[in-house]
Amino acid sequence: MKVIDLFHLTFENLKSRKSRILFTVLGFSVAIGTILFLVSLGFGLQRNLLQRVTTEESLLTLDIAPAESEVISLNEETLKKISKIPGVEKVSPQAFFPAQVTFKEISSQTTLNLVTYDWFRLSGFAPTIGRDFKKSDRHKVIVNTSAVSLFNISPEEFLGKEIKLTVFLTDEETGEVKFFGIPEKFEVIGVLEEAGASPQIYVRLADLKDLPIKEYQFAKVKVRRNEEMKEVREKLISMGFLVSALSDTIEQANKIFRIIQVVLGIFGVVALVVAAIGLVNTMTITLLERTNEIGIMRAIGASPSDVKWLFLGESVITGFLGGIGGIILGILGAHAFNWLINILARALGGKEIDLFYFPFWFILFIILLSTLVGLVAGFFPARRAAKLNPLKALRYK
Amino acid sequence: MEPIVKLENVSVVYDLGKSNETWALKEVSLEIYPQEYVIFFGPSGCGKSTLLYVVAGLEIPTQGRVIVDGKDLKSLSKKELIEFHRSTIGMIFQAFYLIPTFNVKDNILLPQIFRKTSFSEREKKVRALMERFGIENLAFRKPSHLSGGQQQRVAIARALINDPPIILADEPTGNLDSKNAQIVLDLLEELNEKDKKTIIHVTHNPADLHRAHRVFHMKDGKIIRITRNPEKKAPVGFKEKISELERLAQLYPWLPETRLQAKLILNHFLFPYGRDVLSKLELIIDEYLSGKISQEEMFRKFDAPEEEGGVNLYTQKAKELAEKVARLAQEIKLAQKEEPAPTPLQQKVVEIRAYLLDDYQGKLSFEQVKRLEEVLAKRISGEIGKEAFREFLDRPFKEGGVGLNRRTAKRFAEKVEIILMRG
Repeated sequence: MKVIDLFHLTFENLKSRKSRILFTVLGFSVAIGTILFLVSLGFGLQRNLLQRVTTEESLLTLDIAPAESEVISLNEETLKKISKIPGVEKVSPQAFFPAQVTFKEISSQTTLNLVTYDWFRLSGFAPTIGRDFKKSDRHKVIVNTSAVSLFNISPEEFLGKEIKLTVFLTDEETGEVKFFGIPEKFEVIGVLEEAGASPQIYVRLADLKDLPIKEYQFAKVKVRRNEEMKEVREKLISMGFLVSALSDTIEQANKIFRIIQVVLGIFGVVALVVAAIGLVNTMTITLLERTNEIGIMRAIGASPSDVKWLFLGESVITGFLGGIGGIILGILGAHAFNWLINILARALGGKEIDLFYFPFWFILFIILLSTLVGLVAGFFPARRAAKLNPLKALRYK
Repeated sequence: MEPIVKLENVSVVYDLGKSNETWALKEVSLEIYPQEYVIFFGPSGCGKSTLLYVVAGLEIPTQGRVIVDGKDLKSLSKKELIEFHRSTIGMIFQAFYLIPTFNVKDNILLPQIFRKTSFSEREKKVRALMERFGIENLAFRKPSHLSGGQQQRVAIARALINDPPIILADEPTGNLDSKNAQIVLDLLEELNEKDKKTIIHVTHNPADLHRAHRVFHMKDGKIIRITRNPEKKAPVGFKEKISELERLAQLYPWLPETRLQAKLILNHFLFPYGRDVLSKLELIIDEYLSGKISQEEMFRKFDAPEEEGGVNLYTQKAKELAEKVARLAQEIKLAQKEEPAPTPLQQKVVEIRAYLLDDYQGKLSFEQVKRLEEVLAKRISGEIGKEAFREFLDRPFKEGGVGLNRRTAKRFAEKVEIILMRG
């Protein structure tokens, strides 16, 4: 039998038993939908986390801080030393201290972070409103949402506004606090979303060169290639730094998410097994119902393999339709669930998110999987059909 | 001319060797010639359909040879047998047997679909057939929306689409009213005459018989008589001598066999009696032949006066006639190859064999059953001992044994010993 004939005859067979096929497909769809719903929830959660951190550069960056013992401090000299370690591309130091921000008539206490222009890229975060620093920027500032809220203004409105800064520096020898009023005004160019953080503002080191800063609290060390990470890291540890890397965290998070996806997937697979047993049952009933037809077809020239393929075709198409139905059900269900969650989130003052993520490859995989399950479920009834004695089948009532 | 269908000693046995053993066909031999229209005729259960399915290659005979279109069906591989179904045989059934889920056109096309023919080729064929049978306007209807006559025409179109030389029709008019039955029978005749198809038609309706060249009358799994239709010219090159009895049967196709024999005997004597005497004699001889009365009673009836229901022949004449009838009847009996009554040993063998096989799950071939009976006879008569008996059952079939597996052989041997001990 030609494949195109097989399709044609199978569809005619399916059409004549619409309601039964509908329910079998529905059962299949629910199972497939459950798998899709659960696994894409796993994907969605993972993506929500990773989307916030991953720039490629941030994955090649090590965070260092001097260990508590006063063995080494992060000053210009050590920064130079670090940048000479083979494999290191650049070093980006960070210092922070209290500062007062004045906007219009209001003044507030915040933490001022002095950073290089590429600091955000290296850290993997970026302002969600407005933009990141450019190399050519002068006297620009990026603030976080809690800093914005100090001035009773929305983040969008705050963009482009100018603020004034007064920095408090503690003299390390005397312990005396000195005030440095910065004469220049700073323009807000970006707002970082950081839930639950204290008010923070970020200004480029280059804008405040005159401040007497002797050492930095942190530095980001960007490594050229992934293979050199380990070596550089060991070198930094031997110099007396505490080293951490974003890539470690992400790797661990990914591991956890993989486990979550597998566990969610297993729940779905259980549902799929139930649906597959249902399909075997349907096909067996079909076999009994069609016994006479099998006899007729054998009498007019069908080979056992023709009969087998007619049955397999039916179960495969049922599986395939179940896969399509499952994707529709899964996506609809996910959207409904997401919508409810977001209503809840809004009511509680949270931010709206997309909890689900449907990678295209996974959708393809689901369709293949359901088709395959259809094939497997149809296998035994089809083999039985092919093995029927044609004359007995012909006389079967 | 070579026959297109040839059966040699074909038997079909169900539940072989068990006590419910049934012989659907018993040593049937026949020859059917190309372009012949033959009918298998007989009451239900006579084996006529089984015979048809043997020719179709769907029923595998327990023994005997089936040669169709030059092929010995037993020697065909599975693949060749399927090809044989596709190319040589077209089947028509009593209940039409269309596939209810497919429309008319797909139903007709099915044999072509299984044969993987090209779309353009099959399209041409299906169009021509639908036009020929006047069903082109029904092409996209489902069989359930068709009348019986229409359905059977679709089925005939389906049987023809692969252009097989042989058409097998199993009671094709059984589910039709008389008008549609006529149409279908006319079609079959047309296929035979115009399309030069060999037709094998199974029926229990005597009204169909005149359509065929030859009729095979069947009873209890045997062909009891072959009649030829004098009205129809047999296909070219086909000749067969007809016996006296057959000729008579063609003249009186409705009569039971013994009546025909009675007629034959009477014709033999060319009785100079009147019509009523003749028919009386005929009835008495019929009674004798069917075993209702003895030779002595027959003689007395010939002799008795008319008032007592006799024929009132002269005593001498009556005696002579009764003797002649008895002698001729004996000859007829001999000709029919009456099987000799089984001996007590044979009876016992058959009894034990059936007892053993009744709760045996496997299936034995005809030869295996024969060998089992032989060795049982030897064991019962004490010719061989218990061990030798068991060994023979166990021995592979190719090495001359029955070919049972070890455990079954042991079980059978033990059972037989118990039966023998009880006597």
